[in-house]
Amino acid sequence: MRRLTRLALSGASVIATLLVLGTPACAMQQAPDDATRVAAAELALEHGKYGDAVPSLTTLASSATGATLVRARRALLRALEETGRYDDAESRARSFGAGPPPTAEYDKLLGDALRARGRLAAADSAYARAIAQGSSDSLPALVAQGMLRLDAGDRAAAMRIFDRFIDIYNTRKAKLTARELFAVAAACRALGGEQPQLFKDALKAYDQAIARDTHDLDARVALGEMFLEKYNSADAKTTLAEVLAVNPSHPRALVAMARRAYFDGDTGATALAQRALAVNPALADAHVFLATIRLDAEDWPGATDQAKRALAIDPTSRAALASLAAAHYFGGDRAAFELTKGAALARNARDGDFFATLAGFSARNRYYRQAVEFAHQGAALDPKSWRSLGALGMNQLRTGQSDSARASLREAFKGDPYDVWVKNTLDLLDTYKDYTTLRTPRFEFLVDSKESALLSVYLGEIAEEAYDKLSARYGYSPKTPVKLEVYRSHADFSVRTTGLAGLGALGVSFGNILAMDSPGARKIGEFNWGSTFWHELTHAFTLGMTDHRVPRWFSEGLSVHEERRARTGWGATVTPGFLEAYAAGKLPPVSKLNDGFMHPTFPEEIFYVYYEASLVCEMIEQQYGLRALVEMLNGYKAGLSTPDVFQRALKTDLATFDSKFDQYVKTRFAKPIAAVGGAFPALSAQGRLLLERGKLDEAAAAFTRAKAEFPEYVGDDSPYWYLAEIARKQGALKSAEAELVTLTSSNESAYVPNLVLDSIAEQLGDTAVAAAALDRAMWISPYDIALHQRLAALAGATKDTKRAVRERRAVVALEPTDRAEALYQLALAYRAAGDAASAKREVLRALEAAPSFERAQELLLALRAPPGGKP
Amino acid sequence: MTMMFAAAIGLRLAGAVMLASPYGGGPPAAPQSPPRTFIVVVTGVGGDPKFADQFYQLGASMTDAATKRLGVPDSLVTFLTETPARDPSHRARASTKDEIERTLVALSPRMQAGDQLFVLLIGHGSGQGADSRFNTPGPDPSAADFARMLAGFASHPVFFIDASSASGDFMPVLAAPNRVVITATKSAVERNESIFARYFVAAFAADGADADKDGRVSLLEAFDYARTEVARAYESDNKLQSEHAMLDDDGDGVGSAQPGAKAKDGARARVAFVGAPRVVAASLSGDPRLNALYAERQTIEAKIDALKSRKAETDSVAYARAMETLLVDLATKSREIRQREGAKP
Repeated sequence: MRRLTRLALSGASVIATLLVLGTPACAMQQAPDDATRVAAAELALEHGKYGDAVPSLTTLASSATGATLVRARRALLRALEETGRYDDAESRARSFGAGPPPTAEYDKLLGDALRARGRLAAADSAYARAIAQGSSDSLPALVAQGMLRLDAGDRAAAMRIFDRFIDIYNTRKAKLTARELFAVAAACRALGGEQPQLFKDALKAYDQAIARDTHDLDARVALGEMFLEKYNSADAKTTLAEVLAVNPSHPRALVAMARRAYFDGDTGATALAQRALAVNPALADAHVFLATIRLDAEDWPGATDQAKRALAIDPTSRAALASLAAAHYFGGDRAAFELTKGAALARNARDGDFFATLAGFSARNRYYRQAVEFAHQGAALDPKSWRSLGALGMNQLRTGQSDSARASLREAFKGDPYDVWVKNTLDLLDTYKDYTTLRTPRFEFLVDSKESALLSVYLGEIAEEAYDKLSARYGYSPKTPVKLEVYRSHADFSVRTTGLAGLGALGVSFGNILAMDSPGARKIGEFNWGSTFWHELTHAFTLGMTDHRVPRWFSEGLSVHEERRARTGWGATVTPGFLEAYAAGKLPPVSKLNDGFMHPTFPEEIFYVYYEASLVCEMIEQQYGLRALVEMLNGYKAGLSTPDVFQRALKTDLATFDSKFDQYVKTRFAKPIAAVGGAFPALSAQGRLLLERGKLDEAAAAFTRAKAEFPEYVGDDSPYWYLAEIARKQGALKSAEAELVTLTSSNESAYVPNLVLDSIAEQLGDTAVAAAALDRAMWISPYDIALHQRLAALAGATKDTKRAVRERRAVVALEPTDRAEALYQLALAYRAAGDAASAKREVLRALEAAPSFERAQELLLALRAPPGGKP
Repeated sequence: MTMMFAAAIGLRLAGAVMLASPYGGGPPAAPQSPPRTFIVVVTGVGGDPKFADQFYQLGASMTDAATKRLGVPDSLVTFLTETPARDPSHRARASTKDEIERTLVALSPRMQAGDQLFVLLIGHGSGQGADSRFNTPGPDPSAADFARMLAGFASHPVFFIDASSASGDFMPVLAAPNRVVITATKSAVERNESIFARYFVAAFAADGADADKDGRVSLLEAFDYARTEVARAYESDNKLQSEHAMLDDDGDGVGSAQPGAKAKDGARARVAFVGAPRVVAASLSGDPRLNALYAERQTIEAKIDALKSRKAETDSVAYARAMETLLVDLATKSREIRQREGAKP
C-alpha cells in the first residue's frame, strides 16, 4: 500500500514554527534567510495554508534573489492558481518572465493560468516558449501542449507528442525530476486511450513521481483521478485521502473525492465540492460536478446555472458544455441544446466523449433510447471513444437490443479493458445461456433455469393481472411484450442495472424492460418479490406514459402507491424512523423530493423518501382523484416543469402544495408523531425488558400501551409481534392469531410471523387464516416444498381450486424427489378445478415416471371414463 | 437396459426371492426360506452433545424404520452407539471398534444363501486413503479394518453406507463385487459436518423416497433422495455444498455422483432393497389366472421401459400417444390383478 512519506518535521506545528522563523519581527530568533522562508511558505502551501503561504510568497517574490527568487515566484504562481486567482497569476507570470532578465521559467505556469480561463491559444504559446527555451519544466509544458491538441480533437498530433515521452523515459528515467515523471505519467495515461496497456506504465510513472518528491501532491491527485476514471473507487479513495490528510483544502483533491463519494453513493459529495469552491471559487470542475448532481436530480435550471458558472470561468470546458447541453436537452430547450452542442463541436469536431457524457446523463435520467442515440453519435464521430461504445452497449442492452449490445460492448472492451462496467456486463451476458425464456400473452420472462419453472407459476399470473389493472387505472398500455429479467444473484442484477456490483435496489425498470432480484437473491424476509415486480411494472407505465419525462420522485411514489393497492399489506409502511425524520424537518418537501432520491443527506433518507413520495401520491388520489395523477403524468409528457404540472393538474403552486402536504402528514400521523417522540420507544423498550425477565403480563401491558400509541407500526419489532409471542406462551392462541393477522396483513416481508400464524391457525382450525398466511409467505420466499404442499392442501380444503393448482405446480417445479406423487397431486388439483385435459396430462407424466403407481393408474382410468360412465 | 428392467420387474414380483438374480447372473433358485436382511447401524463418537444426540437419533430412527416400516425382525437388527444405555428399548451396544468387529464376526455364520447385510455408519470421519477412519469411542476403525471385517461376507450381497464426514476414501477400499458402497462425501477432503445421513435415513423412515411408487425404497432411490435433499438444503441455506455423496455398485471402487441408467453405477442399487418383500410372489400364488395376469403386466411394463429408452429418438407426439396406450393398458391390467387378488380367500 502506498503511504505518504513525510518530512521528519511536518504538520501544522512545524508550519507555524517555520513561518514564525520566517518573520523578521521575531527578534528573539536569528533572522532566517530567504531560502528558509521560501521553504516555510512552500510547506504552508503543501498543507493548504494558503492564507499564510500567499502573503509570504508575495513578499519573497520581490525580495529574494537568484534561485530562491525563482522558487518563490513559482510557488506563488502555484498558490494563486490553486486558489483560483488566475488573472493575478497570469499578470505576475508575465511580469516575472519579462525580467530583467527575461526568462521562460514561468511560462508553463502562465500557460496553466491561461488554460484555466479557456484562453487556449495564449496557453499554447506560453507552453511553446517554455519548451523552446528549455525551461526547467519544458517536459510538463510539452505534455500540457499535447493535452491541448487532444482536447481540440487533433488526436494524431497529440499522440505524436505523448509518444515522445516513452523514449524520454527510457533514456533518461534516472535523471527525470518528479514533475517530469508526472508528465511522463500524464502522457502514458493519454496514450492508454489507444494502447490500454500503457495505463500500467502511467501508474508506474505516477508512483515514481510520488516517490521522487513526496511533497508534490499534484501527482497523487492525478493518480486518484486516474483510478476514478478506471472505476477503481477503492484505490482512488485511498490515494485522495492521503492527499487530503496533508492538505485538507486541496481543491482538486476535494472535487475528485466528491466524485468518488458520488460514485460510491456516499453522502457528502456536494459538501466536498463546496469545500473546494470555498478555497477556489473559480474551479470550473467543481461547478461541473455540481451541475452533474443537479442533472441527476432532474433540476435542469440548477444544472444550467452551475454549468454556466463553469463556462464563465472556462468557456472551453468540454465537461461544462456537455452538462449545459444536457440541461438544455432534458429541460426541453432544443434550440439552446443545439447551440451548446455546436459550441462543443466547434472546439473539437470529433469529440465523441461529449456524446458519451450526454449518453451517461440520459441513462441516469432513464432516457435510454436517447442514450443509445447519443452514444451512437459519439462512436460515429470518434471510433476510439470507448466511453461512447461502452455507453452504447449498456443502453442497447437496456432497450432490449441484446445482440447489438454484445457487439458494442466487445468493441469497447477491446479498446478499454479496464472499464469494469463493460467487463462485468460482458461476463453477465455470458451467463444468459443458463437462463430460460418464458412467455405469457404480454410478457417475456428471462429467469435462471434453476428456478424458471417455479417462478413462472407465480409471475405469469401476477404479471397479466397487474398489466390489466394498471392499464385500466392509467388508460395506457405499455408496448408488449414487457420483458422481465429475474436474477438469482444480486450481484448479477446489480451489474445488469449499473454495470457494477453493490447496488442496493431490488428492481429496476428501463421502460418496458424490467430487471429484479429473484426471491433467492436475498435473505428471506428482506423483500417481497411480488410487490417488487408490481413496483417495477408501474414504472413501465409511468415512464411509458410520459416518454420517460416523469420525475423520479413521482415515478417512485406512484410505484409504491400501486404496490399498496395491489395487495393488502404490500408496499412501504410508516416507521418510527420516518416520523422522527419528518418531524425533525430532515426530509425534503415535495418540491425538493428528488434531492432525497439522488443525494440523500443521511443513509436512511432514501428509504424514507420512497414512503414520503408514496404518501404524496396517496394524498393526491384521495383529495383530487385518480384523474389528477393521470393529468400530472400527461403534463410531464407534454414537457411541463413540476411547478407547471402542479398548477395545471392540481390548481396549486408548489409552495402551497408543500404546506398542504406537510399539514396532511402532520394531521394523519399526529398521534404517532407525538408517540415516537414520547412514550412509544420507552414503552417498547420496557416491554422487551419485562419479556426478557419473563414477566409476561407486565410486558403485555407495556406492549399494549405502545400499540395504542402507534397502532400503524407493523415492523418486525412492533408490539404486535411481541404481544403474539406472549399470547402464544400463555396459550392464548386466539389472541396471538389476532396480533399476527394485523402484523402480517400490513408487513409485506414478515416471513416468520406468517409461518407462526399458519401454525397457530392450524391449531385453531382456521383454515382460511392459515391459507392466507402461507399465501403471503410465498411472495417472500417460495422455495419450501412442504409449505407449498400444505397451502395446496388448505386450498383444496377451502375449494380454492385455482390456488390449489398453482401450489401443486409449484411443488412439481421444485423437483421433489417423489416427483410421481407431486404430479399425481397436481393432476388431482386440475381435476378438482374442472380441467380434465390438464389432469390427464399430469397423471400420464406421473405414470411415465412411475408406471406402477396404483393411485395414478386409477385416476387415469377415471379420467378416461366417459362422463357419467363407469371408470 | 431392457434386461435390467426385466430383472427389476422380476424382483418386484418375487421380492427378495429374486435378490440373487442381479448378483448371481442367472435365474434364481427357489430358496428354502425367504432371504433376510441383517442390519447393523453404528453411530460414532459425537464429540459434542449436539452431534452425539443427532447421531443417536438418526441411528435409532434407522433401526426403528427397519423393524417398523421395512419388516425386518428385531433379531436381525443391531444398533451400536456411543451411549448404548440411553434408551433400553433399542437394546443398543457400544460402538467400539472391538464391538463392531465382534458383531460382524458373529453375523457371518448366521447368514444363509441369499441373505444380505446392510451396514450404516453415522458420525464423524477422519484420515485419508486406506487409513480413513470412522470415529468411534476408543480406537477408530479404518477403511481397511472394515474391508477385513467384511471379507467373510463375499457370498452375500453387502450394502455398506458410510454416511460420515470425510468418508469418500472408504469407497475404493470397500468396493467389491456383490456390494453396494455409498459414501457421504466424494473424498476424505470433504471434512465438514455431513448432513447426508439425515436424508438417507429419512428415505427409509418417512415417505417421499419411493420415486417409482412400487411400494418400496431401493438403495438407489434412497441415495437419490438423500443426494437431492442435501443439495436442496445447502441451496436453501445459501451455502456452498461441502459434501457430495457417491455410490459404487460395479465393484470398481470409482463411485458415481449420479448413478442410474446413464451412469456406470446404479444397476445393483436399483434392485437392492432393505427388508422383507411386500408383494406376494406370483410363483407362490397358486392361481394360474393370476400368474397369467402377472406375466401380461410384466410384458406391458417391459414395453413401457423399451419405449422410454427410445424417447430421445421418437417423435414426441407419437411417443406420447404410444405411452398413453401402454399406461392405460397397464392401469387396466393392474386393476384386474387387484380385483383378482382381492377376490382370493
